[in-house]
Amino acid sequence: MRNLLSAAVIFFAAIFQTTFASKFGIFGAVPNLIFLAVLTLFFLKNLNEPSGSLRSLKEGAAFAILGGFFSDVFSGQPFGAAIIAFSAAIAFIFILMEKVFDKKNYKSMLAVVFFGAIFYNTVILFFLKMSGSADFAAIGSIFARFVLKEAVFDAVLAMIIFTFIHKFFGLWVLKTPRTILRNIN
Amino acid sequence: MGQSPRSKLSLFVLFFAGILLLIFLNERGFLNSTKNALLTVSVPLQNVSALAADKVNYFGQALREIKNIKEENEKFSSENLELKGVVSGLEEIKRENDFLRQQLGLEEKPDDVLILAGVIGRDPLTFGRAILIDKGARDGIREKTAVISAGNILVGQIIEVYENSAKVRLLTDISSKVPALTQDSRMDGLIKGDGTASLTMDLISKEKELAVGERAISSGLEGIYPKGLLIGEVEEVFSADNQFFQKAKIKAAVDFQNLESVLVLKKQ
Repeated sequence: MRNLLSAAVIFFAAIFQTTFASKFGIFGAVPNLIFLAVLTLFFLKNLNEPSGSLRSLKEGAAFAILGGFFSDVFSGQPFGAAIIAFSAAIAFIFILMEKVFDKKNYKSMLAVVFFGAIFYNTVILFFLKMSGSADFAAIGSIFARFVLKEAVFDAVLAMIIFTFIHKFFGLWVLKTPRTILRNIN
Repeated sequence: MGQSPRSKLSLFVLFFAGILLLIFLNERGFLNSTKNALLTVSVPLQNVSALAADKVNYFGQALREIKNIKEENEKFSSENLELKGVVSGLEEIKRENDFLRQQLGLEEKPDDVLILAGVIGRDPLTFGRAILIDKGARDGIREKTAVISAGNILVGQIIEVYENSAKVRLLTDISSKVPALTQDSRMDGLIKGDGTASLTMDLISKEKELAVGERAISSGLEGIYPKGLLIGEVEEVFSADNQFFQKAKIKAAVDFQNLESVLVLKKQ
């Protein structure tokens, strides 16, 4: 049931992404609602655990594949680009939360959204280069024009989404397995 | 209990192989039924959501543009008068053309059939430039056909077709390349997208100079886009002594961001 609900959340995020979000870009960039949905689900452990840990990498990978699949179905770019980018971004975020950000707080979560969005788009651009869909000049121009703006946009929107979920559902994840282990010890 | 590095590695390899398998299955067309099913479910939802997004967008635009409406109205009225004159001239030319064709015994070229389609979705990637339309295989839409907007303006081409929807790659997409021609100087080139609203016309010979404001049209060389579809106007010309070709920045004739419906050319 919980998995079905998660899949529905990602699916509706994809619908909103392709209809609403793409119409309301700021300075040419639009937020990535599918990416934010995948991250929010990854950060929220359990409806009954207000402050648990990050979901496991396996669960994160499942969300990533689902988010990537929906992205690829609606996108005009070669199939597989988003699945690979989402999976790589989830792994990158997991490592960042585990190894880099020692203090698990609001700021560190927003930071991983920001860096995760940059990483996600970089992987997609790399895939496009490898598949011959774009040359280096086009990729450089896209990176400068869109990627950083989207990362800022995603982080701002994540702030709103995380605050909303925290306030209305009492759900939050500020602890990672490492922090929990440290507390136990 | 944590997993050993070896089992983590095998899990990673398995996962990566799974993704590659998905890509392979898609290449072979085995995922088409899954994608079709997903789009069959999502198209009605996207229709409703796109309609709501358009309404919100109209409201915002109306608020922003309310003071320009009178000015624009006057401009359109004078343009309308001008165009009426052009149309009556063209009607006269068509009559002459029909008469000459009859005299020479030439067959009339069959008109292309146009399929009107609504835009129900856009590329989820911030730099992706593709749209989803609400007409698909059951309406007679095929891959690699040109998509235009009112006024014979080129929009892009169909890249994927599903039962009740199809994906269109816009001219502004980074992988879009259209053989083009400048209307006055008759110079060939290749128009490429870069993810933004403007286009670049490359590989233009330096034989003649391009003029700013000159129109760029499809040259019909590739076979997908018929000759003569308007693409845009030359906005800026780049020519350097150490380069064989000149380049031009083209201002697209269509507003891709606010595209709500398109016409798919179905060749007879």
